[in-house]
Amino acid sequence: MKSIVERSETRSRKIAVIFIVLALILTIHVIGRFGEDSGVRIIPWLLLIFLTVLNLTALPAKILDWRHGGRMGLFLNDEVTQSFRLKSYRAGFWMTIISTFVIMPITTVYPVSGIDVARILVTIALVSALMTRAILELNAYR
Amino acid sequence: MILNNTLKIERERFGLTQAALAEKIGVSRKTINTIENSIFVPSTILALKLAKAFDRQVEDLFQLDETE
Repeated sequence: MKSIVERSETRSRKIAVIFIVLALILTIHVIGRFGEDSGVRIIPWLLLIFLTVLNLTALPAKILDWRHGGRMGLFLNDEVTQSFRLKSYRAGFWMTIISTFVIMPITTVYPVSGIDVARILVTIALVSALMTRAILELNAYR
Repeated sequence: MILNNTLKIERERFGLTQAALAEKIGVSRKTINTIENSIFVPSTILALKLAKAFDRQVEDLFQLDETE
């Protein structure tokens, strides 16, 4: 039987893979829905964004902790994980600022709707955070 | 400022794997791995826990790189 450290390592790697998949889904979604202003289509996207943001918090670790009788959280939300989370938030923040500086002048030449700009910026923020976290998590075990 | 450490040497002296040490002090293996590779600087609490696990002083495990 696997020890709790080994099980938490497996979980941690799975979470990193989920983050990469989520980043891909978000990227494909923003490209596929570009130029589409339908209010109805916004709701599933907002739900996807909301779930992604929740995944970037400590909530998944807390849920797994609760499901494993209060021991798993210690290993899934330890100091290194918390530092990786902060680094991923930082990456998302700076990528959003940089992207805003790049996108805003472009929209003066090629008009883009507010919804599209919001979609692009939120996607850049989340994809940067997700990929940073996934890379840090996967590299930490090497 | 680089923080050198002798964590790997101490761990091997005690015949512990990274996973065994991680379980002993209640952290993930990646924490032990990143500390050993000087990627992550642990908090005072974690440094004290590690020192206690090897019955050592914190400064025996962690030293500032004087050449920096």
